[in-house]
Amino acid sequence: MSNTINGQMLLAMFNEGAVALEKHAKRVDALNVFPVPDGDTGTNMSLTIRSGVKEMKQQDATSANQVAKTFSKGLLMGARGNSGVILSQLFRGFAKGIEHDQVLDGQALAKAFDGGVQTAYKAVMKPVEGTILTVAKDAAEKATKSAKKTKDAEQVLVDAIEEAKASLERTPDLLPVLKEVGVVDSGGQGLVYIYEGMLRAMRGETTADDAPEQATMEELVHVEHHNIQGDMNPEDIEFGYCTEVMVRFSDDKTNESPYVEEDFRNTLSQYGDSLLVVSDEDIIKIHIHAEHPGFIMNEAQKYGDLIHVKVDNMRDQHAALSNEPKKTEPPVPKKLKKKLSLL
Amino acid sequence: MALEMNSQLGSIDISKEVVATVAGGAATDCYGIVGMASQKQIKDGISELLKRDNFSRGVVIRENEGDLMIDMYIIVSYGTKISEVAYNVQSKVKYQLEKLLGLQVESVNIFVQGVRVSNP
Repeated sequence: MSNTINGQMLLAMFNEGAVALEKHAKRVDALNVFPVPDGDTGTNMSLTIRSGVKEMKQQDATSANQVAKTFSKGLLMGARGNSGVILSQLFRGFAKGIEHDQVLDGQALAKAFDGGVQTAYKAVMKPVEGTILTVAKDAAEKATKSAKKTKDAEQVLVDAIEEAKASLERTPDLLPVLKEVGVVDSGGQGLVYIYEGMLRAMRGETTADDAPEQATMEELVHVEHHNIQGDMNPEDIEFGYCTEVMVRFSDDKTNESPYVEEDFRNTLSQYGDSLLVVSDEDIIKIHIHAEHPGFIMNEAQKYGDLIHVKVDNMRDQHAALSNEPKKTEPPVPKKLKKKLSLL
Repeated sequence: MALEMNSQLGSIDISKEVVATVAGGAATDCYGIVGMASQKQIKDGISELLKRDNFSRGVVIRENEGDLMIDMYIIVSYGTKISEVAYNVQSKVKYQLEKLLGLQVESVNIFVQGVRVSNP
Protein backbone atom coordinates (compact mmCIF):
# COMPACT_ATOMS: atom_id res chain seq x y z
CA MET A 1 0.00 0.00 0.00
CA SER A 2 1.69 3.10 -1.12
CA ASN A 3 0.18 6.05 0.59
CA THR A 4 3.12 8.35 0.14
CA ILE A 5 5.17 9.19 -2.91
CA ASN A 6 8.95 9.42 -2.79
CA GLY A 7 11.22 10.75 -5.50
CA GLN A 8 11.67 7.43 -7.19
CA MET A 9 7.95 6.81 -7.26
CA LEU A 10 7.26 10.27 -8.63
CA LEU A 11 9.77 9.65 -11.39
CA ALA A 12 8.03 6.44 -12.30
CA MET A 13 4.68 8.21 -12.22
CA PHE A 14 5.71 10.99 -14.57
CA ASN A 15 7.29 8.44 -16.83
CA GLU A 16 4.15 6.36 -16.94
CA GLY A 17 2.06 9.45 -17.50
CA ALA A 18 4.14 10.24 -20.55
CA VAL A 19 3.84 6.68 -21.84
CA ALA A 20 0.08 6.75 -21.39
CA LEU A 21 -0.25 10.03 -23.21
CA GLU A 22 1.97 8.92 -26.05
CA LYS A 23 -0.09 5.83 -26.49
CA HIS A 24 -3.27 7.83 -26.87
CA ALA A 25 -1.75 10.76 -28.75
CA LYS A 26 -3.59 9.89 -31.97
CA ARG A 27 -6.95 10.04 -30.29
CA VAL A 28 -6.12 13.36 -28.64
CA ASP A 29 -5.05 14.66 -32.05
CA ALA A 30 -8.38 13.66 -33.48
CA LEU A 31 -10.27 15.66 -30.86
CA ASN A 32 -8.37 18.85 -31.51
CA VAL A 33 -10.74 21.60 -32.69
CA PHE A 34 -9.74 24.49 -30.43
CA PRO A 35 -8.10 27.01 -30.59
CA VAL A 36 -6.96 26.05 -34.09
CA PRO A 37 -8.27 22.78 -35.52
CA ASP A 38 -4.96 21.52 -36.80
CA GLY A 39 -5.07 18.14 -35.12
CA ASP A 40 -1.75 18.30 -33.32
CA THR A 41 -2.62 18.58 -29.63
CA GLY A 42 -1.75 15.00 -28.82
CA THR A 43 1.53 15.14 -30.71
CA ASN A 44 2.48 18.44 -29.12
CA MET A 45 1.63 17.35 -25.61
CA SER A 46 3.44 14.12 -26.01
CA LEU A 47 6.58 15.80 -27.38
CA THR A 48 6.46 18.22 -24.48
CA ILE A 49 6.15 15.58 -21.82
CA ARG A 50 8.81 13.45 -23.45
CA SER A 51 11.21 16.35 -23.11
CA GLY A 52 10.29 16.56 -19.43
CA VAL A 53 10.93 12.88 -18.87
CA LYS A 54 14.26 13.07 -20.68
CA GLU A 55 15.47 15.93 -18.53
CA MET A 56 14.26 14.21 -15.38
CA LYS A 57 16.11 11.02 -16.19
CA GLN A 58 19.35 12.82 -16.94
CA GLN A 59 19.53 14.40 -13.50
CA ASP A 60 19.75 12.01 -10.63
CA ALA A 61 17.30 13.69 -8.36
CA THR A 62 16.22 11.55 -5.46
CA SER A 63 13.65 13.52 -3.54
CA ALA A 64 10.18 14.26 -4.83
CA ASN A 65 10.67 18.02 -4.94
CA GLN A 66 13.83 17.70 -7.00
CA VAL A 67 12.27 15.24 -9.39
CA ALA A 68 9.31 17.53 -9.94
CA LYS A 69 11.65 20.45 -10.48
CA THR A 70 13.75 18.78 -13.14
CA PHE A 71 10.64 17.41 -14.80
CA SER A 72 9.09 20.86 -15.00
CA LYS A 73 12.30 22.32 -16.36
CA GLY A 74 12.32 19.76 -19.14
CA LEU A 75 8.69 20.52 -19.92
CA LEU A 76 9.38 24.21 -20.10
CA MET A 77 12.24 23.81 -22.53
CA GLY A 78 10.42 21.36 -24.71
CA ALA A 79 7.01 23.00 -24.66
CA ARG A 80 5.23 22.69 -27.98
CA GLY A 81 1.91 24.17 -28.96
CA ASN A 82 -0.69 25.76 -26.77
CA SER A 83 -1.44 22.68 -24.74
CA GLY A 84 2.26 21.99 -24.32
CA VAL A 85 2.84 25.44 -22.88
CA ILE A 86 -0.10 25.01 -20.50
CA LEU A 87 1.17 21.60 -19.47
CA SER A 88 4.57 23.06 -18.68
CA GLN A 89 2.94 25.70 -16.49
CA LEU A 90 0.81 23.16 -14.68
CA PHE A 91 3.84 21.16 -13.72
CA ARG A 92 5.92 24.22 -13.00
CA GLY A 93 3.34 25.11 -10.39
CA PHE A 94 3.18 21.49 -9.32
CA ALA A 95 6.90 21.60 -8.55
CA LYS A 96 6.57 24.93 -6.81
CA GLY A 97 3.74 23.66 -4.65
CA ILE A 98 5.95 20.95 -3.19
CA GLU A 99 9.17 22.93 -3.07
CA HIS A 100 10.07 21.66 0.40
CA ASP A 101 8.54 18.19 0.39
CA GLN A 102 10.88 15.30 -0.13
CA VAL A 103 8.10 12.78 0.22
CA LEU A 104 4.51 13.45 -0.76
CA ASP A 105 1.48 12.42 1.21
CA GLY A 106 -2.08 13.12 0.14
CA GLN A 107 -1.98 16.68 1.36
CA ALA A 108 1.25 17.49 -0.42
CA LEU A 109 -0.09 16.00 -3.62
CA ALA A 110 -3.21 18.15 -3.40
CA LYS A 111 -0.99 21.15 -2.73
CA ALA A 112 1.02 20.30 -5.82
CA PHE A 113 -2.05 20.08 -8.02
CA ASP A 114 -3.33 23.32 -6.60
CA GLY A 115 0.00 25.05 -7.15
CA GLY A 116 -0.07 23.90 -10.75
CA VAL A 117 -3.46 25.43 -11.34
CA GLN A 118 -2.52 28.69 -9.61
CA THR A 119 0.54 29.09 -11.78
CA ALA A 120 -1.22 28.06 -14.95
CA TYR A 121 -4.01 30.58 -14.48
CA LYS A 122 -1.55 33.38 -13.83
CA ALA A 123 0.00 33.04 -17.25
CA VAL A 124 -3.10 33.96 -19.17
CA MET A 125 -4.98 37.19 -19.49
CA LYS A 126 -8.35 35.73 -20.31
CA PRO A 127 -8.59 32.06 -19.41
CA VAL A 128 -10.83 30.13 -21.77
CA GLU A 129 -12.95 27.70 -19.77
CA GLY A 130 -13.79 24.30 -21.11
CA THR A 131 -10.17 23.50 -21.81
CA ILE A 132 -7.31 21.69 -20.12
CA LEU A 133 -7.24 24.55 -17.60
CA THR A 134 -10.75 23.80 -16.39
CA VAL A 135 -10.06 20.10 -16.12
CA ALA A 136 -6.91 20.75 -14.09
CA LYS A 137 -8.71 23.22 -11.85
CA ASP A 138 -11.61 20.92 -11.06
CA ALA A 139 -9.27 18.03 -10.39
CA ALA A 140 -7.14 20.15 -8.06
CA GLU A 141 -10.17 21.34 -6.11
CA LYS A 142 -11.33 17.79 -5.64
CA ALA A 143 -7.84 16.73 -4.59
CA THR A 144 -7.78 19.44 -1.94
CA LYS A 145 -11.13 18.31 -0.58
CA SER A 146 -10.09 14.72 -0.63
CA ALA A 147 -6.82 15.47 1.16
CA LYS A 148 -8.76 16.82 4.11
CA LYS A 149 -10.30 13.42 4.64
CA THR A 150 -7.37 11.14 3.96
CA LYS A 151 -3.61 11.21 3.95
CA ASP A 152 -3.43 8.47 1.42
CA ALA A 153 -1.83 9.92 -1.71
CA GLU A 154 -3.26 7.21 -3.88
CA GLN A 155 -6.78 7.96 -2.74
CA VAL A 156 -6.28 11.65 -3.43
CA LEU A 157 -5.08 10.88 -6.93
CA VAL A 158 -8.00 8.52 -7.53
CA ASP A 159 -10.47 11.22 -6.48
CA ALA A 160 -8.71 13.83 -8.59
CA ILE A 161 -8.86 11.63 -11.67
CA GLU A 162 -12.51 10.89 -11.15
CA GLU A 163 -13.27 14.59 -11.02
CA ALA A 164 -10.99 15.29 -13.98
CA LYS A 165 -13.00 12.84 -16.06
CA ALA A 166 -16.28 14.37 -14.96
CA SER A 167 -14.93 17.81 -15.74
CA LEU A 168 -13.79 16.64 -19.15
CA GLU A 169 -17.31 15.50 -19.91
CA ARG A 170 -18.53 18.97 -19.02
CA THR A 171 -16.15 20.81 -21.34
CA PRO A 172 -18.62 20.89 -24.27
CA ASP A 173 -21.03 22.85 -22.06
CA LEU A 174 -18.41 25.51 -21.44
CA LEU A 175 -16.86 25.84 -24.86
CA PRO A 176 -19.45 26.10 -27.63
CA VAL A 177 -17.17 24.97 -30.43
CA LEU A 178 -16.71 21.61 -28.70
CA LYS A 179 -20.44 21.10 -28.47
CA GLU A 180 -20.88 22.07 -32.09
CA VAL A 181 -18.46 19.40 -33.18
CA GLY A 182 -19.55 16.91 -30.56
CA VAL A 183 -16.24 16.19 -28.87
CA VAL A 184 -14.59 16.83 -25.51
CA ASP A 185 -11.57 19.08 -25.18
CA SER A 186 -8.42 17.52 -26.56
CA GLY A 187 -5.97 19.03 -24.08
CA GLY A 188 -8.19 18.05 -21.17
CA GLN A 189 -8.36 14.53 -22.50
CA GLY A 190 -4.57 14.48 -22.73
CA LEU A 191 -4.28 15.56 -19.11
CA VAL A 192 -6.64 12.80 -17.99
CA TYR A 193 -4.43 10.25 -19.75
CA ILE A 194 -1.38 11.62 -17.95
CA TYR A 195 -3.08 11.45 -14.55
CA GLU A 196 -4.28 7.94 -15.26
CA GLY A 197 -0.77 6.91 -16.22
CA MET A 198 0.52 8.37 -12.96
CA LEU A 199 -2.01 6.38 -10.98
CA ARG A 200 -1.11 3.18 -12.75
CA ALA A 201 2.54 3.69 -11.88
CA MET A 202 1.55 4.18 -8.27
CA ARG A 203 -0.35 0.91 -8.28
CA GLY A 204 2.60 -0.82 -9.89
CA GLU A 205 0.78 -1.47 -13.14
CA THR A 206 2.04 -0.48 -16.54
CA THR A 207 0.27 1.12 -19.41
CA ALA A 208 0.85 -1.98 -21.48
CA ASP A 209 -2.07 -3.52 -19.55
CA ASP A 210 -4.27 -0.81 -20.87
CA ALA A 211 -5.84 -1.32 -24.26
CA PRO A 212 -5.25 1.63 -26.55
CA GLU A 213 -8.37 3.66 -26.81
CA GLN A 214 -9.19 4.71 -30.33
CA ALA A 215 -11.22 7.68 -31.30
CA THR A 216 -14.67 6.50 -32.18
CA MET A 217 -15.81 6.77 -35.75
CA GLU A 218 -18.39 9.35 -34.73
CA GLU A 219 -15.76 11.62 -33.19
CA LEU A 220 -13.57 11.36 -36.25
CA VAL A 221 -16.44 12.11 -38.60
CA HIS A 222 -17.55 15.08 -36.52
CA VAL A 223 -14.09 16.59 -36.56
CA GLU A 224 -13.57 15.89 -40.24
CA HIS A 225 -16.83 17.59 -41.12
CA HIS A 226 -16.09 20.53 -38.88
CA ASN A 227 -12.74 21.12 -40.49
CA ILE A 228 -14.08 21.34 -44.02
CA GLN A 229 -17.14 23.35 -43.13
CA GLY A 230 -17.41 27.00 -43.82
CA ASP A 231 -16.17 28.53 -46.99
CA MET A 232 -17.53 25.82 -49.23
CA ASN A 233 -19.49 26.70 -52.32
CA PRO A 234 -21.83 24.06 -53.62
CA GLU A 235 -20.01 24.26 -56.97
CA ASP A 236 -16.70 23.64 -55.25
CA ILE A 237 -17.76 20.34 -53.79
CA GLU A 238 -15.82 17.88 -55.83
CA PHE A 239 -17.11 14.80 -54.07
CA GLY A 240 -20.79 15.22 -53.49
CA TYR A 241 -21.82 12.31 -51.29
CA CYS A 242 -20.97 11.77 -47.68
CA THR A 243 -20.92 8.00 -47.59
CA GLU A 244 -20.78 5.80 -44.53
CA VAL A 245 -20.61 2.05 -44.90
CA MET A 246 -20.31 -0.64 -42.28
CA VAL A 247 -19.24 -4.13 -43.30
CA ARG A 248 -19.19 -7.36 -41.36
CA PHE A 249 -16.33 -9.60 -42.47
CA SER A 250 -17.42 -12.91 -43.86
CA ASP A 251 -14.92 -15.75 -43.97
CA ASP A 252 -15.70 -16.93 -47.49
CA LYS A 253 -14.89 -13.55 -48.87
CA THR A 254 -11.83 -12.75 -46.82
CA ASN A 255 -10.36 -16.13 -47.68
CA GLU A 256 -10.60 -15.18 -51.30
CA SER A 257 -9.33 -11.65 -50.89
CA PRO A 258 -7.63 -11.08 -47.54
CA TYR A 259 -8.29 -7.72 -45.93
CA VAL A 260 -5.33 -5.39 -45.57
CA GLU A 261 -6.38 -2.07 -44.10
CA GLU A 262 -3.59 -0.07 -45.72
CA ASP A 263 -4.35 -1.39 -49.21
CA PHE A 264 -8.06 -0.95 -48.74
CA ARG A 265 -7.52 2.62 -47.68
CA ASN A 266 -5.39 3.28 -50.74
CA THR A 267 -7.99 1.75 -53.01
CA LEU A 268 -10.73 3.90 -51.56
CA SER A 269 -8.73 7.09 -51.51
CA GLN A 270 -8.91 7.34 -55.31
CA TYR A 271 -12.69 7.74 -55.10
CA GLY A 272 -12.84 10.72 -52.78
CA ASP A 273 -11.51 12.56 -49.77
CA SER A 274 -12.13 12.88 -46.03
CA LEU A 275 -11.52 9.17 -45.88
CA LEU A 276 -11.71 7.38 -42.55
CA VAL A 277 -11.37 3.64 -42.16
CA VAL A 278 -11.65 1.92 -38.81
CA SER A 279 -11.69 -1.82 -38.44
CA ASP A 280 -11.52 -4.56 -35.87
CA GLU A 281 -11.79 -8.35 -36.23
CA ASP A 282 -15.47 -8.29 -37.09
CA ILE A 283 -16.30 -5.01 -38.68
CA ILE A 284 -14.97 -2.29 -40.97
CA LYS A 285 -16.40 1.20 -40.77
CA ILE A 286 -15.84 3.51 -43.67
CA HIS A 287 -16.51 7.19 -44.01
CA ILE A 288 -15.70 8.97 -47.24
CA HIS A 289 -16.81 11.89 -49.32
CA ALA A 290 -17.09 10.45 -52.80
CA GLU A 291 -18.73 11.30 -56.08
CA HIS A 292 -19.80 7.72 -56.76
CA PRO A 293 -20.88 6.00 -53.56
CA GLY A 294 -21.61 2.82 -55.49
CA PHE A 295 -17.91 2.14 -56.07
CA ILE A 296 -17.27 2.38 -52.37
CA MET A 297 -19.93 -0.20 -51.65
CA ASN A 298 -18.59 -2.50 -54.33
CA GLU A 299 -15.11 -2.29 -52.83
CA ALA A 300 -16.41 -2.81 -49.32
CA GLN A 301 -18.54 -5.77 -50.32
CA LYS A 302 -15.48 -7.68 -51.40
CA TYR A 303 -14.78 -8.36 -47.73
CA GLY A 304 -18.19 -9.15 -46.34
CA ASP A 305 -21.79 -8.15 -45.95
CA LEU A 306 -22.99 -4.59 -45.81
CA ILE A 307 -24.75 -4.03 -42.53
CA HIS A 308 -25.23 -0.31 -42.60
CA VAL A 309 -25.16 2.22 -45.41
CA LYS A 310 -25.79 5.93 -45.23
CA VAL A 311 -25.39 8.35 -48.12
CA ASP A 312 -26.02 12.08 -47.83
CA ASN A 313 -26.01 14.45 -50.75
CA MET A 314 -23.74 17.20 -49.50
CA ARG A 315 -24.51 19.62 -52.32
CA ASP A 316 -28.17 19.52 -51.40
CA GLN A 317 -27.42 19.87 -47.74
CA HIS A 318 -25.15 22.74 -48.36
CA ALA A 319 -27.49 24.51 -50.73
CA ALA A 320 -30.31 24.13 -48.24
CA LEU A 321 -28.16 25.70 -45.58
CA SER A 322 -26.74 28.59 -47.53
CA ASN A 323 -29.60 29.50 -49.83
CA GLU A 324 -32.45 29.71 -47.43
CA PRO A 325 -31.75 33.13 -46.00
CA LYS A 326 -31.06 34.59 -49.43
CA LYS A 327 -34.48 33.76 -50.85
CA THR A 328 -36.18 36.30 -48.70
CA GLU A 329 -35.28 39.74 -49.92
CA PRO A 330 -34.17 41.96 -47.14
CA PRO A 331 -36.49 44.91 -46.79
CA VAL A 332 -35.03 47.93 -48.50
CA PRO A 333 -36.21 51.23 -47.15
CA LYS A 334 -37.64 53.30 -50.01
CA LYS A 335 -36.96 56.59 -48.46
CA LEU A 336 -34.77 57.54 -45.66
CA LYS A 337 -36.51 58.87 -42.66
CA LYS A 338 -37.74 62.25 -43.52
CA LYS A 339 -36.41 64.40 -40.87
CA LEU A 340 -33.55 64.15 -38.53
CA SER A 341 -33.31 66.77 -35.93
CA LEU A 342 -30.19 67.63 -34.11
CA LEU A 343 -30.60 68.28 -30.47
CA MET B 1 -8.60 53.01 -44.92
CA ALA B 2 -10.37 49.76 -45.20
CA LEU B 3 -10.06 46.31 -46.63
CA GLU B 4 -12.40 45.67 -49.48
CA MET B 5 -14.04 42.55 -50.72
CA ASN B 6 -16.62 42.08 -53.39
CA SER B 7 -19.53 39.73 -53.48
CA GLN B 8 -22.17 39.36 -56.17
CA LEU B 9 -24.42 41.67 -54.24
CA GLY B 10 -22.00 44.48 -53.63
CA SER B 11 -18.89 45.38 -51.77
CA ILE B 12 -17.82 44.67 -48.23
CA ASP B 13 -15.53 47.01 -46.43
CA ILE B 14 -13.87 46.00 -43.25
CA SER B 15 -12.16 48.74 -41.36
CA LYS B 16 -8.69 48.18 -40.03
CA GLU B 17 -10.00 48.83 -36.57
CA VAL B 18 -12.20 45.75 -36.87
CA VAL B 19 -9.33 43.62 -38.08
CA ALA B 20 -7.20 44.89 -35.22
CA THR B 21 -9.89 44.13 -32.66
CA VAL B 22 -10.42 40.62 -33.94
CA ALA B 23 -6.68 40.02 -33.99
CA GLY B 24 -6.34 41.44 -30.49
CA GLY B 25 -9.22 39.31 -29.26
CA ALA B 26 -7.69 36.19 -30.72
CA ALA B 27 -4.31 36.99 -29.19
CA THR B 28 -5.60 37.62 -25.70
CA ASP B 29 -7.36 34.25 -25.78
CA CYS B 30 -3.98 32.65 -26.24
CA TYR B 31 -2.31 30.98 -23.37
CA GLY B 32 0.80 32.74 -22.08
CA ILE B 33 -0.28 36.24 -23.06
CA VAL B 34 -0.88 38.52 -20.10
CA GLY B 35 -1.37 41.73 -22.04
CA MET B 36 -0.93 43.84 -25.12
CA ALA B 37 1.60 46.63 -25.21
CA SER B 38 0.29 49.97 -26.36
CA GLN B 39 1.87 51.55 -29.41
CA LYS B 40 2.02 55.01 -27.96
CA GLN B 41 3.97 53.95 -24.97
CA ILE B 42 6.38 52.03 -27.08
CA LYS B 43 7.73 55.32 -28.27
CA ASP B 44 8.26 56.27 -24.68
CA GLY B 45 9.73 52.94 -23.89
CA ILE B 46 7.02 52.04 -21.47
CA SER B 47 4.72 49.11 -21.88
CA GLU B 48 1.33 49.28 -20.41
CA LEU B 49 -1.25 46.63 -19.84
CA LEU B 50 -4.32 47.35 -21.85
CA LYS B 51 -7.86 46.55 -20.96
CA ARG B 52 -10.03 44.58 -23.33
CA ASP B 53 -11.85 47.65 -24.57
CA ASN B 54 -8.87 49.11 -26.27
CA PHE B 55 -6.64 46.15 -26.91
CA SER B 56 -6.69 46.83 -30.61
CA ARG B 57 -4.06 49.43 -29.80
CA GLY B 58 -1.39 46.81 -29.40
CA VAL B 59 -2.06 45.73 -32.97
CA VAL B 60 -0.87 47.42 -36.12
CA ILE B 61 -2.42 46.51 -39.46
CA ARG B 62 -0.48 47.23 -42.61
CA GLU B 63 -1.51 46.63 -46.14
CA ASN B 64 0.82 46.41 -49.08
CA GLU B 65 -0.62 45.75 -52.52
CA GLY B 66 -3.40 43.59 -51.16
CA ASP B 67 -1.17 41.71 -48.75
CA LEU B 68 -2.20 42.01 -45.16
CA MET B 69 0.49 42.29 -42.53
CA ILE B 70 -0.20 42.40 -38.84
CA ASP B 71 2.20 43.50 -36.13
CA MET B 72 1.33 42.52 -32.60
CA TYR B 73 2.96 43.91 -29.50
CA ILE B 74 2.50 41.51 -26.64
CA ILE B 75 3.45 40.97 -23.03
CA VAL B 76 3.98 37.39 -21.94
CA SER B 77 4.10 35.64 -18.63
CA TYR B 78 7.46 34.79 -17.09
CA GLY B 79 8.27 31.11 -17.08
CA THR B 80 6.60 30.18 -20.32
CA LYS B 81 8.41 29.17 -23.46
CA ILE B 82 8.15 32.51 -25.15
CA SER B 83 9.01 31.37 -28.65
CA GLU B 84 6.23 28.83 -28.51
CA VAL B 85 3.71 31.28 -27.10
CA ALA B 86 4.53 33.68 -29.92
CA TYR B 87 4.08 30.95 -32.47
CA ASN B 88 0.74 29.99 -30.95
CA VAL B 89 -0.40 33.58 -31.21
CA GLN B 90 0.58 33.68 -34.87
CA SER B 91 -1.37 30.59 -35.79
CA LYS B 92 -4.39 31.54 -33.70
CA VAL B 93 -4.59 35.07 -35.12
CA LYS B 94 -4.19 33.85 -38.66
CA TYR B 95 -6.85 31.20 -38.18
CA GLN B 96 -9.36 33.54 -36.54
CA LEU B 97 -8.98 36.24 -39.18
CA GLU B 98 -9.46 33.74 -41.96
CA LYS B 99 -12.43 32.17 -40.24
CA LEU B 100 -14.24 35.26 -39.02
CA LEU B 101 -13.41 37.83 -41.68
CA GLY B 102 -12.39 35.70 -44.61
CA LEU B 103 -9.09 37.53 -44.89
CA GLN B 104 -5.90 36.03 -46.14
CA VAL B 105 -3.06 37.13 -43.94
CA GLU B 106 0.39 37.47 -45.42
CA SER B 107 2.24 37.68 -42.13
CA VAL B 108 1.69 38.04 -38.42
CA ASN B 109 4.70 39.62 -36.78
CA ILE B 110 5.04 39.28 -33.05
CA PHE B 111 6.95 41.76 -30.93
CA VAL B 112 7.41 40.62 -27.38
CA GLN B 113 7.52 43.90 -25.53
CA GLY B 114 7.60 42.64 -22.00
CA VAL B 115 7.64 39.71 -19.63
CA ARG B 116 5.54 39.87 -16.52
CA VAL B 117 6.77 38.21 -13.38
CA SER B 118 3.68 37.71 -11.31
CA ASN B 119 4.89 35.50 -8.49
CA PRO B 120 6.17 37.12 -5.34
